[in-house]
Amino acid sequence: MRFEQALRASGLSVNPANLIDFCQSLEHINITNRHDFHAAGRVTLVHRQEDLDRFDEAFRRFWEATDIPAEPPDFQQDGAGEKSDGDSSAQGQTQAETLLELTDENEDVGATSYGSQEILMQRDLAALTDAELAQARRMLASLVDALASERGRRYASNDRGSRLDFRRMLRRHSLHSPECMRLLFKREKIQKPRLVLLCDISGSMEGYSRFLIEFIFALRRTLPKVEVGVFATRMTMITRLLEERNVDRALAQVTQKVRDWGGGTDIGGCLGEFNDYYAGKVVRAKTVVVILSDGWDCGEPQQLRLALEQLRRRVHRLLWLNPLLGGEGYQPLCTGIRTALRYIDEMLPAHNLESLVRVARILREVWR
Amino acid sequence: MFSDTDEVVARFAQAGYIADHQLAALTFLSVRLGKPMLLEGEPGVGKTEVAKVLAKILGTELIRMQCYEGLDTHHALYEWNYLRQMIEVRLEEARGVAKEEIGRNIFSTEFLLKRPLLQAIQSEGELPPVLLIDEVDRSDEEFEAFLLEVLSDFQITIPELGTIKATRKPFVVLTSNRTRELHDALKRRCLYHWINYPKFEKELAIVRAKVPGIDESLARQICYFVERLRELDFYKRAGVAETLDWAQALLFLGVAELDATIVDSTMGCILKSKDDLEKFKTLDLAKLVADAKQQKP
Repeated sequence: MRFEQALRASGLSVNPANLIDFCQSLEHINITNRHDFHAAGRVTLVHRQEDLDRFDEAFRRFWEATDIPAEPPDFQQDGAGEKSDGDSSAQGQTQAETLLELTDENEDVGATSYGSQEILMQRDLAALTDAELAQARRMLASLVDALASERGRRYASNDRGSRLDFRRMLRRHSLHSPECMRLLFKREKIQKPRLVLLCDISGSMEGYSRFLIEFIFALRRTLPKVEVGVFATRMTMITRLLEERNVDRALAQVTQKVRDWGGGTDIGGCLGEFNDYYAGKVVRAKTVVVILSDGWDCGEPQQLRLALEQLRRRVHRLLWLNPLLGGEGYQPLCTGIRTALRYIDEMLPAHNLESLVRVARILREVWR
Repeated sequence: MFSDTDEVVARFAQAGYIADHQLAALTFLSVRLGKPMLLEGEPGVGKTEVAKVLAKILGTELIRMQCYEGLDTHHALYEWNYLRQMIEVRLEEARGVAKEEIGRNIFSTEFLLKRPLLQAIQSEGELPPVLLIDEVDRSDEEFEAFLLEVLSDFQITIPELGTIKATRKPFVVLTSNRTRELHDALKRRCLYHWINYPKFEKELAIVRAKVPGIDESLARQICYFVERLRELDFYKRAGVAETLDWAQALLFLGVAELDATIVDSTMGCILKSKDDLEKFKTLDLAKLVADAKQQKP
């Protein structure tokens, strides 16, 4: 029990059922042998690679605090510490690479494409005129439609399917005579992705947040499983407000309800708030969470790190859309973004329609 | 079975699998406590192999279930053989068998297609089988929930036949490449182990065991070289499986020691994406090879 307390103190949560497993396992091993005791604890009490280091550390402290003379610490032959450090830095680097690739690609496209639609696709969202905005909306709608009719891999009865549905045929068979048996078909069920979008509406995002909310609005109408939150200094879930049919009225309501529109930013605090109060309701294992923010953060970097780490564990994919990424020569230097890079799956530009098309495409891919 | 963890290490080694103390303890406890073991790690570090070797050591059957998205109960548990049932109905009708009789006849075990989980539960060998549930992270949420139920009770209900209960629990091995986080409820029911890339000495031992006839100094060079490559930032880092492939290939080509040309022409064994190969071309190959020969840290 003292050992369990030591583990808790180091931030590992131990589940009672697993504690029982651990105690049972002690019956089978020689508990005065440090190797065996360590291994038994490790396999029964830890269920996540990231926690292995913490466990090893807590174990070492615990063992050394007891009176039994410690063996030389060579038992850590796997070098768990080095491993996870290596992993995370490698991940950071790959993320950075994706970033570079993305910017490269964008520049290429910019140099070669033409036509009014193409130009509109590349215009910075913050600089659109009203007429352009209307066209942009239409383009958004078609983009969102394409996203919404993905087929999953589970089947449902459907007369236009290509696979015979024997289950249904056999059941019908008992009613009709076998000679005139009809062939019945099944095909893949449409699987609508579950999305959670968290949009930064602080002052630095002002030019973009309105359009991004409209992007969300368009998504929201075609995909019933979209949850939307906005944040600057606190998190507000606005899913219900967006049920309004008219986009302008919906936005007016949002502005009314959300008090911190255009204020400063505390990304870490808001994401923490999301984890604590809303995630349980809206996040399932297959949820894709998209954060829309430029990463200018006035909060504690440590808090942001913690919130992102927690969030990453709960969701299927974590994407970050960043309008600043479209700017030439932009480097993810501010602390917020640099912390985030370690935990997110992808950082994508979101400054013009073209980049939103890419986002839609990526959302489809991650869904597979 | 096993009396302690050292015996596990020894018997795994006999079967050609180099297990460290952690893995041995996991296997030992999993067999003793009758709890499933969950192995996570990068691709190619020998997760699936654990189940195969375990089955070999215990001399029991290995039942493998490969997970994929959309895997459902019909493919994991059982499915009625509809085609045979339809034919049987026609035949029995022609013979004038009574309707109720036909109903009973076609829903008998004869028309049941047993899928891996049912096989594992019904297995009748001397020892329970090893049930390998491979790449469980590729299945979807629904299936994971269903798996949870089966793994806790080891019983299956078929409405037409009744409940089938396992007389003994199979030894269950789950593997995951961690493309997504598994649900906590499933993890809690398992003993967990993360298999890391092996250290130099361990990898060398594996190469020696798996590629008999390889020259000692070549084996050292190979392991050293691969270890260096893993430190570099490739999209897919080489697993032990890749090291072994490469060692096999070099042995087959009759190479006595590494040189830049040979390494360059056989890199397809190690790096399996276009980007990685392009990146590899930018490296100072001559220096890497020279380092590998001198085993310079």
